[in-house]
Amino acid sequence: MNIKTKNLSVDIGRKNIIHDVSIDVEKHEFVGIVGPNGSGKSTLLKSVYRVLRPSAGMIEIDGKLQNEISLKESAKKLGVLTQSSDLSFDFTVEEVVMMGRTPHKKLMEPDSDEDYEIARDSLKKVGMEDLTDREFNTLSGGERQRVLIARALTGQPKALILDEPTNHLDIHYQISLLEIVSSLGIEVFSAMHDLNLAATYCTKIYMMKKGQIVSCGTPKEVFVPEMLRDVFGVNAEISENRENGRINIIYTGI
Amino acid sequence: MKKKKNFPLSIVLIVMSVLLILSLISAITFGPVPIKTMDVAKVICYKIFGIQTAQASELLNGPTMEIIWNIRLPRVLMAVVVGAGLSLSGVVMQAVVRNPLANPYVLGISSGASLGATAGILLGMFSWFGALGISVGAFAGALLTSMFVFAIAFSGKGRGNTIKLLLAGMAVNAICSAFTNFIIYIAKDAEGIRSVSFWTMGGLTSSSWNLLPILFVVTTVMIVFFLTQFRVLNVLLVGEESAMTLGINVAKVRKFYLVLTSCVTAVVVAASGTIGFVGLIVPHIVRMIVGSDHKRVLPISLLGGSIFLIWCDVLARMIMYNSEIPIGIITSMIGGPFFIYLMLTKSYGFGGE
Repeated sequence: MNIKTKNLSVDIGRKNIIHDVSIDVEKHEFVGIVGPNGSGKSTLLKSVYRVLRPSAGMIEIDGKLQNEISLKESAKKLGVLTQSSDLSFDFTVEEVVMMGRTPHKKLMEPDSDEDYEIARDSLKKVGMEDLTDREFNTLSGGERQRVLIARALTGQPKALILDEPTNHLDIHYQISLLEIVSSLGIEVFSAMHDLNLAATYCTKIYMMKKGQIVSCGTPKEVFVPEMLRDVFGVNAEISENRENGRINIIYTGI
Repeated sequence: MKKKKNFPLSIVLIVMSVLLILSLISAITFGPVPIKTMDVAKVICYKIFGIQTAQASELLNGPTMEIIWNIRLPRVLMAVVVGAGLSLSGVVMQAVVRNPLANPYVLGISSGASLGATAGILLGMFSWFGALGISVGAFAGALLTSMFVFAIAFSGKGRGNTIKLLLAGMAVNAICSAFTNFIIYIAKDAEGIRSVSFWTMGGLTSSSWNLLPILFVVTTVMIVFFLTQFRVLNVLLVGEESAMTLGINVAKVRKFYLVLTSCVTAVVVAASGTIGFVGLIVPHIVRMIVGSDHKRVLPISLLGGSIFLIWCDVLARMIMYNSEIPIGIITSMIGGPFFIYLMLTKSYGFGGE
């Protein structure tokens, strides 16, 4: 399923946050957005998953204009992992994950065995199947993150939108999570913090600075020392693995 | 993960419904004039189904019949409806503002209603409505304050959010209480002040067949509506952004629910005064026992709230000989310690971490 934005601008209050952003996610790509804090990564994602309304430009989801399909319809197609994940009431892990079925449910429709099956599979994928009856609020940050990924998968989305999915995760689960989402065979559009992980897993990178896209292409094309210097203010060397052609960024200072 | 077969919701609901009916019948037997359980059953059977059992004609024309049918039954039914109504608004309000401290009165409804009732009792306003004047005043006060609170929270600069809503509720609450106290302070009417204080602590004394139908219709319609909304209520608790990614238009749903719960609360308060604590603790007690899923919380809270209020009203009638105390005193006296007991013995975290 493809996700497109064209000349997208978003303002919050009177402040312009992103400007003239055009992106294209298609053909099972794992697309990463990178950029320093406040460069507009989350804002771009939020406008795609409809928490923020664009002030100009357009967004296309699965070939349809976003504002022409219902919130429920887009929720069925997009699995979303947001950055904030606080719960103000006690829910069990199972209950949280089952909420992922919400967009598929009619008014009084009960949860079916199939729904529970899907939820169990999602929890298995993130390695949380043993904690189904735990209270969500008693989990560690990393465990919560994995449960929320499972909730996004439970909606059986046609594409995933992830806002810094590896937050709070230890290195094992960072890699495991990225392996899981890249093995799903659906499009993934994700804000990435760790440039080396982005270089390893993303097939395409958009680099943002001050609300605009400044570079786009394969990790090898985007992660070049001059750009890293210009956008992130760091000095770095790039080394390339001869066997798989992947690049590795070595930071040398600021 | 197996399907949660270990929670038999339908059995719990059936058991609670039976308890509710038994409570209803036995509550009628309590009062200054003791009445036999069988007589209650006979009168209700006769009145509702037209079944006249043998040797019942004496009963059916005597004073016992009058007490059962015209005094106690409407009162107990009122307890059922008010208990369910307050629990409903409590559950929904806590979900809508995503705050475990919320209760049906959090938007200033109680103080608005009190101001209306006080103006009715002490200043003689709304007297064109005759005996219903005080209820009309309370209803008007309740609706006006909640509309006022919405207006403050959702207009003005910046986005409306729930904290703003709660603070607006507090501000309006303070204003209305100040005016109520002002009226009480300048009034020279001792009897009137006593009725105001009785009213603000809540009571089912004004129960009659006249008030019941409107109360019943409003509450039932809202209950039926919200029972269909359990998924949305659950998702509201996970926060605005997550809810939107699950396909729920939070801003729209929140306003709609607030208007509906305000209507229920206003009608209930107008009929029974501001009975405290029920709408706060019943939902929490139920969550402590069955978890936060609204599929379970909502129906169980409704039945639990009704049963709780029936028995609180029995105590309010029976605790003092020949006199009646406001039911709000009982709900807090009994509910408070029970609530603390559960807090100490259950692992429920009230949404904290």
